[in-house]
Amino acid sequence: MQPGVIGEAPMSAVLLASILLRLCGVIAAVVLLKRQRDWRLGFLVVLIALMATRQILTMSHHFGLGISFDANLDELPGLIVSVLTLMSVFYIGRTLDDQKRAGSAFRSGQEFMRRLIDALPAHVSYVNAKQQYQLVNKQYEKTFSRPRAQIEGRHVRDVMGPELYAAARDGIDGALSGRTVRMDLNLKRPGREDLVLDASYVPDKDASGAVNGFFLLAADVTDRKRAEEALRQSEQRFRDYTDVASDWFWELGPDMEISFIAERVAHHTGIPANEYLGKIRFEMGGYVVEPDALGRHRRDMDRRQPFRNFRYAKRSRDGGLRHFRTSGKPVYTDGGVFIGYRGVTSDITHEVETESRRRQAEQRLLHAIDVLPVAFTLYDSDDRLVTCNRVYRQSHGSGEVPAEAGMPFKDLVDAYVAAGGLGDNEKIVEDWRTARLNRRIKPEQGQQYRLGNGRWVEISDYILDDDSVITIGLDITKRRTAEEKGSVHESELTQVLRRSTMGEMAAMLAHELNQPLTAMLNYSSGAIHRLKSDRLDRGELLPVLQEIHNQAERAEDVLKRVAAFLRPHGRHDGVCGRTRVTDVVEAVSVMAGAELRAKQIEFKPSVPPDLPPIMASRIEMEQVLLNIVRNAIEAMQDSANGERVLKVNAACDRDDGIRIDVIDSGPGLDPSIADRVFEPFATTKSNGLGMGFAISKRIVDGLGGRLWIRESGSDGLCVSLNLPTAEVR
Amino acid sequence: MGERKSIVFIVDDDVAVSESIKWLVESVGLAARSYGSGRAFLAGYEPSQPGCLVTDMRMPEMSGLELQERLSRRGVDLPVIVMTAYGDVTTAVRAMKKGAVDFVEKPFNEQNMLDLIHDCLKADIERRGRDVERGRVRVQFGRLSAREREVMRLIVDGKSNKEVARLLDIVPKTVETHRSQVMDKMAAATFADLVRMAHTCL
Repeated sequence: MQPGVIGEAPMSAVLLASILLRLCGVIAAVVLLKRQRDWRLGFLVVLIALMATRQILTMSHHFGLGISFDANLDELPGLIVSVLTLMSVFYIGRTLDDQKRAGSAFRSGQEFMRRLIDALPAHVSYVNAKQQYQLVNKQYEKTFSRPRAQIEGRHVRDVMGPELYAAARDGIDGALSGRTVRMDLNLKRPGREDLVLDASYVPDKDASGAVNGFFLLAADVTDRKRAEEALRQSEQRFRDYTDVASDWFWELGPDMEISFIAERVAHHTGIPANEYLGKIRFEMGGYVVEPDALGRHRRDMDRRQPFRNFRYAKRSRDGGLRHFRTSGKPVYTDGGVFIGYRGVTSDITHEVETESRRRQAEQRLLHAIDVLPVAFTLYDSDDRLVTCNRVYRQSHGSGEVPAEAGMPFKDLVDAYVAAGGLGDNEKIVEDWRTARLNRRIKPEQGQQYRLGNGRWVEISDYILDDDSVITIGLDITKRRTAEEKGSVHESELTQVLRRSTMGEMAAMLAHELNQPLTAMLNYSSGAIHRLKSDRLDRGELLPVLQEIHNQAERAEDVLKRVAAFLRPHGRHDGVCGRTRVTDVVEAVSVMAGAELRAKQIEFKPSVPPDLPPIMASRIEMEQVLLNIVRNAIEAMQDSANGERVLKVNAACDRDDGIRIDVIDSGPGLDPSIADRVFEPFATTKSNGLGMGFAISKRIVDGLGGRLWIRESGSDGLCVSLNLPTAEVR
Repeated sequence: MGERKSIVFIVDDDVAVSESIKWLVESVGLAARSYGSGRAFLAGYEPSQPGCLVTDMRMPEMSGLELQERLSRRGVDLPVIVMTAYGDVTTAVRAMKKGAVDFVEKPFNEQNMLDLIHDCLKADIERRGRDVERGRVRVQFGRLSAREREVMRLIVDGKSNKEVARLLDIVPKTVETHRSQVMDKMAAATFADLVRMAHTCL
């Protein structure tokens, strides 16, 4: 600008425009400052304001009022500067706006990403190569119970804890070495439910392939895992049942071919399960099925009907017949399409065989009952006939009694009576029937009847545990007849024993009598000699005569005992009565006393004072016992044993009645007759008949007792007998 | 001989029997002692006492046979009469084989019994007498010289004096002397006596 024109010259239009432009620039800069709130724009405002002020000062200095539109080239650069300045402001404003808009868009994008990953139901994170979390989502806050700020930037191990870190190590190391790794992680949380995470480690590679870090996506699959586990257990349970059950499962396809069959089948049929697959049942051969039943079964299946307990048999590979039972039901899809059968088969061979054996045994028992020579009937607890045998049906003589299972007892008896089968025992029959129906049954107490046909029967009832009753009718005609003859026979036997016992006793009694007789003879002869030779002293004679008297009395005693033995107590032989064992033993000890003394045998009887009496004939018992005792004495006579003891022990046994043991210390039983001691004429004695044991046994048997012999170890021989007590009978 | 009176020993566990036998035996003037058991008898018996033993067969502790066996084991030759009961035949036979002398079945005829006892006593005395005689002969024989014994042996063999003289190469006269010496020293009254004695000592 030229100093000459200042204040004088009219205002240049260019300058004015330049000033206006500059003022506009200030305004634009202020607006920009206000909008951008960036204090750095203040410099721009001040700069442009100073530029504007400079122009205004220039104008006021040089120009007056008025405007000159003269071209003044001097002022043109200022105008250009002004235009450029204003453009710069607009440009800066524009740039700043763009910048601001871009920043805001970026921020909202990042926010969205974060919201997105926060919303994901999984753990999402980015971990750098130093294994520090760079980014984690909200799930981490929940899982690790701490704010995101305390996770991001931390080392993975510090956040996860050493245990989980160790478990995750494969994934982390894998991802950091460039591989994508997927694995399950078990996250234990004290006090809370454990989590199962399905974790994917994805490496973050740059263009060169270097790994900068990795992304982690870990979804909570706890529920799914639990469901899977439950399913697995359920399947396992099913498998277990299948394995341990004696039954096996099978499935048929739509064409009835076997599509599945449990392995177990091989165990029962010998054919491996896989050989069944694809085959049609009952077309495999070896089946033993009733044709009708098989036809029905097939029809059922053709009609898609369920079936239960269809039985069949099949030859196993080893040739044996196995029995099976199978049940099945059709299977349809949800849409109702038939897709086959499903079912189960059991091996019932054992049951079938057991049943068959049981039936055989029952049949055998029934046969046995049928051929029993007694009339047998079995009634149930309602007194209805269950079964009876042939003898019963034929037992009343005039044809068979219409005895059918189920008939009431009362009707049967009536039929029997009507047929005249029970003869004229009406009163007894009535009593028996009443007692029977009222279950007043005394077992083993048979009732004897004479039937219409003249035969004798003994009818006994027995109540079984289940309250059923067995009635047995025994034809005792022969026994009755035999008993009448038998009593005679029995007494004959007794006589034989008596005679043989007496014969043997005679020797003993002779000895017993010899003593006093010898003494008497000697005394009297001595006295006679003295009298004859006149050497008799009167004083001497009296004691001698006294002694003769004593000896005569002694002989009389012996004879009395013999008499007692021959005709004891004025009773008849063989009459049963209450007999005290102690009396029997006492009598025997007297009768055998002389012999016992002579043979130097110690006699040790032991009879409890409270022993109940036996029901037997005393004389018979004395003979039996004397016989045994005499045998023992003779056995010991031949024995070289120093000690000679004869024990007679009596005792009461609840079950066996009275038991008497005669135990000697002899040499035991002669083996040559051991097995026939009880046979007549078995003897080792030179002077015995050998009838003793045989007859003794007959007598004891007849009294309902038992007589047996056994070696008694060191003691020699033990002869035992037992007899019922009088109370029982 | 004969200086000691024979005694009948009676053993029976039945006092009536033993006492009655004692009474019977004494009635004929014999001495008798009764014992209740074999043991009691053995305790009191002195072997030089002549007599006989009457014992019961069946007795407690020690039977009559056992008693007899014990006696014979002690070298006592006392005659034994065993009384048996009726029917003890087999036992008796067994005992007989063992050397018991006599058996009497009870009850016995008292005269038979007494006869038997007398026989036994006599036999015992004779046996004892024989024993004494035998002892005496042995003593006398011991007194003979060697030549006299040779001569005695030959003459009791029935050799004549001449034969003896030839056999012993001595003169018959010397034989004669020896012979009278032998007869003298042996106190033989007759040649027959000498022969009997020779049975004992040669």
